[in-house]
Amino acid sequence: MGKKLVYALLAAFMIVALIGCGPAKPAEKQTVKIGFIGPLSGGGAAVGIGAKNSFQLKVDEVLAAGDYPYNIEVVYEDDASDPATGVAAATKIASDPDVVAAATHWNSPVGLATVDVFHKYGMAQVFWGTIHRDIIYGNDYKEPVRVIPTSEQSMELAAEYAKKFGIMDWVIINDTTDYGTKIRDEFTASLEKRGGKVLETIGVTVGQQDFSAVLSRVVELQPQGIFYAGVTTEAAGVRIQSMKQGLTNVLFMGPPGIQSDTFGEITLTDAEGTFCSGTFDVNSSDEGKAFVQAYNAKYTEPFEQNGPYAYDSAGIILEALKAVGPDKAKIVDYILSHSFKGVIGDIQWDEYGQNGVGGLTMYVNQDQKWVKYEDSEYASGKRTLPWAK
Amino acid sequence: MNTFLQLLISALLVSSLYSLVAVGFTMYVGVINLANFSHGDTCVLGTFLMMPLFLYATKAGWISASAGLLIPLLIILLLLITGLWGVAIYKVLVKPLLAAPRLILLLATVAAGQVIREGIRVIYPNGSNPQVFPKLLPGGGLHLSGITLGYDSLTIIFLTIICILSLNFIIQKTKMGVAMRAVSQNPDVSQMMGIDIEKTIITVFVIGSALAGLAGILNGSYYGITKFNLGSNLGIKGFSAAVIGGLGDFKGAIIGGVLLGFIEVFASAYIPNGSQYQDVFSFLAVIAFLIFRPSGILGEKIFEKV
Repeated sequence: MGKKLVYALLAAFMIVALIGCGPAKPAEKQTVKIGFIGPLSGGGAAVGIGAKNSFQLKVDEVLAAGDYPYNIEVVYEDDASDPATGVAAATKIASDPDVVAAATHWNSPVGLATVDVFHKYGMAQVFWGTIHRDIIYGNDYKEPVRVIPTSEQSMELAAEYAKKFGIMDWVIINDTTDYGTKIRDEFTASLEKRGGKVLETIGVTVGQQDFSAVLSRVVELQPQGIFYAGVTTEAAGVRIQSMKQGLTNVLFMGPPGIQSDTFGEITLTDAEGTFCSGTFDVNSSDEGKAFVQAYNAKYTEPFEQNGPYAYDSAGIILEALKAVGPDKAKIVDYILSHSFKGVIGDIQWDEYGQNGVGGLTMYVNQDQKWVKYEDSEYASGKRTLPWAK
Repeated sequence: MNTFLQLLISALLVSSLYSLVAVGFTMYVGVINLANFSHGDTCVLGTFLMMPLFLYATKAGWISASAGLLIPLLIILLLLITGLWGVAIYKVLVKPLLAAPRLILLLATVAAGQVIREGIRVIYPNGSNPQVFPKLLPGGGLHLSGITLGYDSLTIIFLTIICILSLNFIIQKTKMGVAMRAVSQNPDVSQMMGIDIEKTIITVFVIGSALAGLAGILNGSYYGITKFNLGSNLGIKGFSAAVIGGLGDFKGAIIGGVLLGFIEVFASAYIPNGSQYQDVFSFLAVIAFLIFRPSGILGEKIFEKV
């Protein structure tokens, strides 16, 4: 009985020893969380989802390369294009001790509301979508940086095209959000600098459906151009109803906020010949084309206008994390003191954290899609611009 | 002058949509003394039922340039469905609570509205986002000396007039109309006189819901877009119109709808930067009526008996 016990113990010992002799288990990579906030529901959801997918695409690509020192978990939060929801989402992410940096927001009012939150928690905030100047220049924080160009740069391009087309008398219809009023003021300044004139500015509210009274006033003013300073849904409403009121031979233009395929889907043929002073043309570089190919292979939703910026935001965060480790303060310093290579080109910050490049592009709507103006049938003369008819 | 006429047409269009919603509201109040706050959401439900119906009909090849006549049939089908929805609301929600204090019933309708809204948001694909609504109304229009008369605007105004005249005929000239008026004045005596109260109330819910469905799809088709939460705004505007006109009064609801539409459009046009405050003007008018003429334009003064 005693011998049996000794043999049994010996056998058990040998089994344990043999198991222990197996190949050494590789050390588990540390999992680090990074955040993404955007409008995943509501009117801006199409843009938000496109940006979210693009962000995840970059994370997946970096991890798939195999040599990244960390496992990455992305925490996605929805700001629903609403500042209050945005602040709640930002607080949730910034206060999470496991999250080291975040890429945020499409809507400027949301960005203006959350920039203080990320500053308070000392977390790097890479903006992939908001273009309001004050988000970066209205404070002396080092946490926020912005990949996308400012609204000022965008409106300069808009006014430049207005001059190029000889359309100098404008009516601006703006939504009454911070974004709409800022765009209105910047387009006015850029236009007047070039000798153009704003005959009247008219405010409307987000969610407004009927613009007939506003447009009757526009008909009275007889402008050469209508600039809608706001976002897609209301811009589409204004465009449809302006066509109904016979404003067919004016230049209709909007800011990057209307650069969504949804604009064409709502307005259908009324979209034809409208303009958008928009963001980066992804097909203008090999890196951009590779991004499009990789994105389309994985997702069915369009990446919309902000996809490349969100993709590069992920690249910036991951590069900083790899360089300095999961230390929030070090990541903030690293991002601000380095330049990055992205699909939109070389990203270099000014002293405030604003990217100096970003490929602003003028688009025209052709067959319900935004097409780079230079590549369009309007530029080639195959189609006639609305005011030239 | 042209601008004024153009605004007049716009005001008539907005008024038509508000009147259609207000008439339903006022019928509920008139017949069973209930402010049905799920009414605006029924409008939106109509649009979200119409979209898959339209898509199916298009895919099946029933709707094409040559088969435009099928669109009215589709609209009639939608009205039947929303009418049945009205019956369901009555059977499930209103009937069990008819004996309860009206405040409880009112709260139940608020909850029903919320259920419809959130139901659409959750069940409909990408329900949180604005949806492109199909163009059911004829495009193009007449251009007369600087004024544009869109065929879609004209169709909406015309359909509203037809609906109002038909409803007026039903209320004034038919047996059911007499029953409705009788129930609205005194349900107990009406029952003693042999009027089927339940049948009368169900008819009111069918008509009210069908009108809401129609208002929803006309609104969606004109503006080209619908949203799951559009009902709150439509409902509150319809209710306000009914209050201005005199809650429970059929003609009052139409007058209220017209007044509200005109205030919105003309205040937006003639008050500097008025467009961004158009809702403020509407609700100021409602507050003014509540203070100075709480019974509305056509409503009778109510004297509490001691």
